[in-house]
Amino acid sequence: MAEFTTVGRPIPKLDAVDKVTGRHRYPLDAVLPGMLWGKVLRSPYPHARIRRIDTSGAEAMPGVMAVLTWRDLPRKRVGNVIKDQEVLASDVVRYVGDAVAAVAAVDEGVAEAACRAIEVEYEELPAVFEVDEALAPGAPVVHEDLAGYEIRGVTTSATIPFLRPQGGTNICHHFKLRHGDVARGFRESDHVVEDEFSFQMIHHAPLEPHSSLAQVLPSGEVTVWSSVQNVHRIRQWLAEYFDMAQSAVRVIALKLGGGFGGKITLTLEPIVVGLARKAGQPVKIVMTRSETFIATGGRRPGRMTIKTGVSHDGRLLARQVTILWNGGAVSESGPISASLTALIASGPYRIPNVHVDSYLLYTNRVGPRAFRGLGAPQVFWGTESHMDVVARKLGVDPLEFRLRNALEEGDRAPWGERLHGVTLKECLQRAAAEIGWFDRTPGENVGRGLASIWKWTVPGTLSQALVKVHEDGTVAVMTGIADVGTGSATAMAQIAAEELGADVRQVSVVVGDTELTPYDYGSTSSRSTVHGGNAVKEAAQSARRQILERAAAELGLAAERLELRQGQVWRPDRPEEGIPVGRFLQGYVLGFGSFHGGGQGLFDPETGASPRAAHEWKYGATGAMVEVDRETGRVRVKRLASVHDIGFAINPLSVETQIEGAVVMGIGATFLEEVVFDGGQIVNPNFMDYLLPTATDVPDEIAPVVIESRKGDGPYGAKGIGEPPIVGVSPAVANAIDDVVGARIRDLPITPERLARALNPIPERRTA
Amino acid sequence: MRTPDYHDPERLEEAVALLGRYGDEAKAVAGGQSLMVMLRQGLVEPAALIDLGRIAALRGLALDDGVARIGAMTTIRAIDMDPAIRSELPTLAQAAAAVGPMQIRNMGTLGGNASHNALGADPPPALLALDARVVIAGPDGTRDVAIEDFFTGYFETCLRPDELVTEFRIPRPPRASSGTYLKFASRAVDMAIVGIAVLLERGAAGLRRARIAIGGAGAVPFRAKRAEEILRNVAWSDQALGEAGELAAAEASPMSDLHASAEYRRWLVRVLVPRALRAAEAGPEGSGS
Amino acid sequence: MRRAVSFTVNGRAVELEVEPARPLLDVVRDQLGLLGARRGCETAYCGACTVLVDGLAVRSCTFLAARAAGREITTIEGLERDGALDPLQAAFIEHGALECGYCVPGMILLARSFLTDHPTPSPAEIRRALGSNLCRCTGYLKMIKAVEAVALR
Repeated sequence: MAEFTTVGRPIPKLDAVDKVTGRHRYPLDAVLPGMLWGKVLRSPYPHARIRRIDTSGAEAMPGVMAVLTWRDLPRKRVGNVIKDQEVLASDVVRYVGDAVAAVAAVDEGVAEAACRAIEVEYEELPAVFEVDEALAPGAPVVHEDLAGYEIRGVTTSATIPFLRPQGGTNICHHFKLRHGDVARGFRESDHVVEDEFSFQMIHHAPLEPHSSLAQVLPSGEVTVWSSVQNVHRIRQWLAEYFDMAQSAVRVIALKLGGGFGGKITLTLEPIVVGLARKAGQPVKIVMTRSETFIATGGRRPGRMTIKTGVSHDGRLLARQVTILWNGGAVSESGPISASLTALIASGPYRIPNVHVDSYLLYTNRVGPRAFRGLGAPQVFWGTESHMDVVARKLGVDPLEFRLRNALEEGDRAPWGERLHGVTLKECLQRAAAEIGWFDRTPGENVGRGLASIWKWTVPGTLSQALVKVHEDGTVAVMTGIADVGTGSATAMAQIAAEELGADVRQVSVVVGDTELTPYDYGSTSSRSTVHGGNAVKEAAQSARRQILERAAAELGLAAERLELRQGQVWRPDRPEEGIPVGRFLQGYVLGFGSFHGGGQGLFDPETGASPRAAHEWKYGATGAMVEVDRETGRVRVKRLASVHDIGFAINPLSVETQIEGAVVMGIGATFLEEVVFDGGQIVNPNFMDYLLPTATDVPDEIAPVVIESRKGDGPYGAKGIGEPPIVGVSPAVANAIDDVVGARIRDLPITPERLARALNPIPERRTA
Repeated sequence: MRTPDYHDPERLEEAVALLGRYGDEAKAVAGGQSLMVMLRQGLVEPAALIDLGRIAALRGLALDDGVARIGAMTTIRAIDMDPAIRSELPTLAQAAAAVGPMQIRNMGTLGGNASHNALGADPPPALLALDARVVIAGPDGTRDVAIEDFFTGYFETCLRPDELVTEFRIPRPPRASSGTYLKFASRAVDMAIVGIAVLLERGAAGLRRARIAIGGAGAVPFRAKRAEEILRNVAWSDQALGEAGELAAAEASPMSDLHASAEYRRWLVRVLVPRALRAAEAGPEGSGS
Repeated sequence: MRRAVSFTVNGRAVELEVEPARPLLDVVRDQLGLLGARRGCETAYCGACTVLVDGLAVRSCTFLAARAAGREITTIEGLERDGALDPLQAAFIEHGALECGYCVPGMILLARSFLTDHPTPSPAEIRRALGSNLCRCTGYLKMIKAVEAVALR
């Protein structure tokens, strides 16, 4: 007899048939009668003062219904953590792509022509682009009023309440982790190894570009259809910005065409609302692909130095890390990322002395955004590559080195938190086995590399859900999580079906509508399965209880003796006679569920100490097998094993696809992708020159391996899976490359040219 | 973006006349794959588009009398899939198969591809290795030029604004010959960083004459004649092939761009020419690297 | 200067007034209301706009509307036969070869065109064919499996 009826089964997505027949609708498809099209005018300069904006040329153009500048908007800044961004620049533009004005017109062509007719007089200012420039004494300051910027409190986003941006500098945030005494640790070490790594900006590049459509009614009701992963927070920020009641603002996100973290921030919404107000008609803006690159940043790039002290018998004694994050001109999720990544810079290992400084710096480039992994992939690129460098120095097998130092159940993290559900060793051993770590044949031209994975889920976030059971026994789940394509809606349906004994095909799921779906923090940080799932489970259980209580009252039996199955109530004394629930219901039954993730993100500002820094920690490991063409530098990944303790797989098919997709994103980050800047300009804001992996670029084999420890905080012991697989790919591959050709690459992406240069006498590139 | 005038003449003379009428201001549309992208991005703003799609005289693919005649509007796909071209002109067939995405092969034409002369395009080096001749129609009639004179510069050909390619004429290689096209690119769908087309003719006593044409490693695709020369009538050995690679690399005048430096391109020529030669020797196989 | 163009779409004859140089994608979406062909980029690299013209996969964002004259256009909405899913559509569902689904119509039409040209492809050929379109979610492996399964039938 199976443990579960519905969860744990690899059923296809419930909306799959809509997707394969092209009937599925995305936010980009939203239309309203009388809708106007909008375009945004963006700064061509990385740093400039606006002397004059003359919109008369645009306003006079036939077909133009509204032109928007800062004068039409509240004089306020917006921001996820620090409010450091204006919706339309009033005084200074701080990056190429900074929004200056917007137009609503009868079609996109007219809107675009109108934008070109807006005259803006800029006075260029000196700019900084790289982290070194930003830190240099006397450097131009990106945000002169930084000290006066408002910081959001801890209740509205899982943030770091001690955030103290350093006014007069480009230091947005500096997180410190201090544990033990690194100076002594290094003195006691037999070997000390120092390294430096860099990591590039890569872009989310969801196939569906960002879009927003706003309707503003004379009564003051505002409805926005937007491609966003977190409708409730967007609603909150929008209402706050325009000083509107939250009850008057509705944000709807139909299922998205991908997000990956790039759609959790106010972007076009305030602009379309402003335009719609002024024009008196609904206004829609769809970003062009190049606009998505220029106006919405990818993941945070930067550099890190890492220094490790080890004993002769391979025990880690001390680690010191400095991370310099290039935070662009808008910090967005930067403070959260810079803080939590500082914690994991020690790696999931027992190290008695740890000293980490993580700096988030402002520069005059587009502000990076939360990106799958929130900085963990970048930091692990450094730390897990470095682990192999140290292992080689010691002459110790890299697997053995990791196992010898790995965290174990009940260990205290460097910030003091006691860790549970630590299954790292098992993941590492499994990853090693999957790539034949112990099956090497002499003379084979194959490299093998491993990397540990350690990923948090942001603490203190809330998910709520409603579950409706109709009179005919069918079910509707209303959940605030957005379905960005991960299959979360199907998983929620499976949970509800499981708890109600229902057929999953008779469960519908409503997502992403602030008017219909209860609060959810958003589909980020691999939290949907756990938080959303727990809320749905509780809501379904509540609905079940209510039905059985009513049935019990009417039947004169104890509710505990009744069962609910297939939309019918079953009594023990008449096992062949199911009674349709409609017999006991007038209208439907509504169950409510709520789950608040633990942890508070409160850190000691000097040491980073925290009793619970994350809601949950996830463990895993990546193993890579590669072949290298030494002459061309082309790497062929023969096999990529991605092992994860996911607690419990609600839908194993979804989990597999999530792992594969995240791995391939990691492959892109490792070999192909880079948003290339020339000063403040993005040189490749398109799919011709920004190289996304295609089907011919994926590994020959991907082995998604799932360990179900049942130790997760989610339903049935589940944990999240969205991000962890991407964390280990780059270092595992670099370690495998080093294994076979003895070349250590410390910068990304590992293009064939980069590797070929490390292996062959190719002359230096002359600046063309 | 103003909407350009649109013409789709049925006769070649009409198309030529239209191009003459608009001067520099008109663009001919063959497969449309490059042009439409540039239009959407506002990189070009022609006054008129002259659609060549209905001109029968530009179509046709025939192998006879020792010459392969390929109409300018023949699609890359047609070349890739034609059994006669696959067996007689594998260099060209493989180059066609190597052209990036399937949709581009379905719509793109040989004439359009050659006229665009994009850096890293796959057909041009193949045409060069095969000693193609290009038939061009203009206001004064037709002329034909050697392929070597057709590609004149970075994204430039010898075509005047009022001229069109009508046909490619490729001499059928002798019986005992083989060829290949080897492409090195960031991804299979991309333009080549370096593309090497090889034609090998076997003479008496098993000796070979090689023609080696390289794209991506100079402003225009070029024949590596000194490399060819060194291989003429010598026994092939790893050393000979290696020398050919070095000579070809020395003959290249590559440029740096976002995807590869000039130095790396030159290096790739050096290491890939021997591989292309070996592949051509072994018989028609895959074209990737 | 608009002109009347006659062609068939998903088996139905249509006659439309079009701007001859307008991309077919815009005609399909805005004039015919078929939203399965999608807009993903401006440089004709993503393939989300793929439709079939006389059975061949084409990027509708670079296909001139005037050229549709006399042709048979098939969009994803036209792939079903008498309410039954095309084997590729069914295989994508069965193999879980989709996440957000934005790229899926283009991929399925691409695969359909490919299998018409190559009914017995090797796994490497399938990979190469699917390599013509971009997907950001799935990592492609399940799509490759789905196409393999259909090819083997």
